[in-house]
Order: sequence, then C-alpha cells, then structure tokens
Amino acid sequence: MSEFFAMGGYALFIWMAYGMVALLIALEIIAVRARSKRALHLARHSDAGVDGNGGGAQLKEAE
Amino acid sequence: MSAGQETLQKTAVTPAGGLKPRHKRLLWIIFGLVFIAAIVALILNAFGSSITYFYSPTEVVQDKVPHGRAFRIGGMVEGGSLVRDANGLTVHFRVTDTAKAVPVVYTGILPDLFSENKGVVAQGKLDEHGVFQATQVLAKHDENYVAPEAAAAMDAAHKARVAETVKE
Amino acid sequence: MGRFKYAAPAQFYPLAGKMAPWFAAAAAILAVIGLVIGLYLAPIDVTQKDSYRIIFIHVPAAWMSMFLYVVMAFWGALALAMNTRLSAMMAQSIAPTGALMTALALWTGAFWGKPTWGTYWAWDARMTTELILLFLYLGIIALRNAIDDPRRADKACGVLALVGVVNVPIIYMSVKWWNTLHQGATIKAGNASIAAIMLAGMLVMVFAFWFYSIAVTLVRLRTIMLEREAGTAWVARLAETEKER
Repeated sequence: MSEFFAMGGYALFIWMAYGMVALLIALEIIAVRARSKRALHLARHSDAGVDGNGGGAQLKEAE
Repeated sequence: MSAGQETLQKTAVTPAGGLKPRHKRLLWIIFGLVFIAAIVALILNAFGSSITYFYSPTEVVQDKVPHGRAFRIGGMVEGGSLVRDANGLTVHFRVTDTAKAVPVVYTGILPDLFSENKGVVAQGKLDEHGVFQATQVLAKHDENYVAPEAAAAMDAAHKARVAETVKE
Repeated sequence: MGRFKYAAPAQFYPLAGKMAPWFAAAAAILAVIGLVIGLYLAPIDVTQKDSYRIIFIHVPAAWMSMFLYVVMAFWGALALAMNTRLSAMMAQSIAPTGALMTALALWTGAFWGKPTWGTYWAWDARMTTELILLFLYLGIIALRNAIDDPRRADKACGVLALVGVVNVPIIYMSVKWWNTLHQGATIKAGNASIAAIMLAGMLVMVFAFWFYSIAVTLVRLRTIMLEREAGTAWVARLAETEKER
C-alpha cells in the first residue's frame, strides 16, 4: 500500500496534481450547489418579498 | 425581464459580501482589465522576442541566433559526448540535431530525464570559443509512452537492426 | 441540443434537471475506472517512470479546456446572431468550468514538468497560449460580472469569446509550428504512440471529465435560468410546484 502511495519516488508531484484536481472539482460542486440553492430560494420567495423580487443576478459563485 | 428592472433589482439589494453593487462592479471591471492587459502583454512579448523556445544546433552554427543575450539551444545529447568533471557537478556534452552539434558546458543539477541520446534544452550564451555556457539545462521528453516489456522488446529489435547495419 | 425544440429556458429547465444526475453518475463511475487503470493497472513508462501518470488528468483537463472554449464561443456566437436567451445562458454556464479545466491543465502540467523537464514552468508556445486561454476565460467571467444588463453582457462576452477562439487552434498546433519544450501530440489521426492500457485509461478519464463538465454545466445553467428569469411566470410556477428540499 505504501508502495502505491510512494509512486516510485514521484509521490509529491503525482499527489499534488491529483489532489488539486480533486480539490477544485469538490469546490466547484459545492459552489454550484450553493448558488443553485440560493437561486431556488429566491425564486420561491421573490413574489412575496418586500424588496421587489429575486435579485438573483448579483448572486454569483465566488469564482 | 427588461434591462431596467434588472438594474433596479441590483441597486435595491446589497449582496452578502457587504460591498455595494457599484463597488463590486468596479472591482470586476478592474479584474477584467488586468486579465485583458495580461493577454495583450503575453501576445506582445511573444511577438517581441521569438515564439521559438529554442534554436537548433544548425541555427547556432549558421549564426541565426540572437547576439549579446542569452538564448536556448535544443536537440539531442549526442551519444558518447557526455563527460563529467571530477567535482561531479560540471558536465560537458554536445547538443546535436543530427546535422550539426554544439558543445555545451553546465554546472548544476540536471533533471532526472537528462541522458545521452535524449532531448535537451539548455539556456545560456555562446562564449568566444563557440562553447555554449549553460545556466539552466532542461530535459525534453518525447510524446511516446512505452511499457517496460514493450521497451525491452523494442530494444532487442533495435540491437538486432544495428548489428545488421554494422555487418553491411 | 435542439435549439428549436428547447428554445425557451422554461422548456429546457426540467430537461436539464433530468439529464444532469445521469451525466454526474456516468462521470463518477468512469473516473473510478480511469483512476484504477491509470494509477494501479497501467505499468510505468520506461523514460518517465511513475511521473507520467499525471497524463491521466492532465490530458483530459487540457482537452476539455479547449473544447469547452469552442462550445462556449459557439453558443455565444449563436446568441449574437439569433439573439436567443438560452444560447447566451449556455455560454455563460460554461465559462467557470472552462476556466477550472484550464487552471487544472496548467497546474497538473507544472507538476509533470518539474520531475521530467526539470522546471515547473517554461515560456514556450504551448504553455503561454494555454495561459492566455485561462486569462480569456477569466476576462469573460469578469466582463459578465462588470456589466449590469445581462443582455448587454451576453453580447460583450460573446464578442470576446469569438475573438479569443483563434487561440484554440494555436494552442493545439503550437507544438508543431514552433520549437517547444512541450512534447508533440501523442494521439494523432490514425496512430497513437502510447501503450494500449495507458491509452485506455486516458480515454476513460477524458470521458469522465467530459461528462462531469456536462453535468456541472447543466446544473449551473438551471441556476442561471432562475437568476435571470426571476419574476417571470414560469419561475413563479416552478417555485409553487417544486417543494422546498
């Protein structure tokens, strides 16, 4: 098992590359989900709200 | 939805970040300008210098390389040309494009993939003796990916071919 | 994607919602298979040893970075030409994922370059043009956020995307046209200079990245539809019918 993670001495490079792919994809999924939830929430409560409606346009993922 | 409505909405609601929409927009404009400036700078730089990352030994011999400033030379490390000094850090080798070859001297750490008959890119300057004094040596690998067994088979076939040509 | 059938966001919204989970599931399964092949089953490369294994994420990310840009520019151009809302939203939904793929291509490339070439970065034509691609994506995202009126933003982003599209063939051909530190294309028409199992792993990962991009883009597209069409009848209807999760 440790031999697998050692990657023939290239562990640092392999896992830095694969790790960043995993990290950024995870962050994108979280960001898209959060943005989607916000938009849905605003769509539901827009018509009744006092501040006019939605206002979703300025709610962007932090990218 | 009309443009007017959209604008109204934007100014009516302050986003979570605490920044006023006007300031947020300004920030995005600045970001945009920075990126576009970076693109333009990169393109101008590419035209200003050369898009070519390195020159071939033939170009060096034909004097088609820039004078008075560092440039890169690329090709193969000529087989049998690699000599290490006693200090173990300075290496002498010749870079070839099979037509011409240029001697190179380099002191420093070499990449793992550096070896004879493999691709190399060296940065530095030509001295008065026509020797390329390198300050950085990079290995250039090819686009072939070969499994060890396949390599052994190919190696055997290659050796057989070489033996054949030698006989001829 | 039939533009005529699903011309309106209201019609495409539920369809995108149905498709996204399937693409996501396919991406996840393919990624697992691809990772097992790439990191475990595939043998080492003779010259590069284990360091070559970065190819299984680097090539898919790099291909997607270029492919997504072309798709984004296509939808942007269609929006400019036909003045359609849905195609503009499609272009808008692709940009962040395109930028992500470009960043990943550059990052994974750096960590492949260090052990093989001996440097994280070189200003050769391949790397410089890929960096320009990242700045194009980021410029388009910034432009989108800098303009209040979404229809005007569509036009500006469409034009910038179209202008930048010339960069894509340049990225692809750079290793052929100029001397670069980056090696040439491994997969060419007709033959691939790569062992079969390595090729298999790489192609599986390419499809994984592809399906992931489709899934995440569809979800973002739905969100953008809600944001931009908030206050319209169909969004109001949707808000009533779809229960709070």
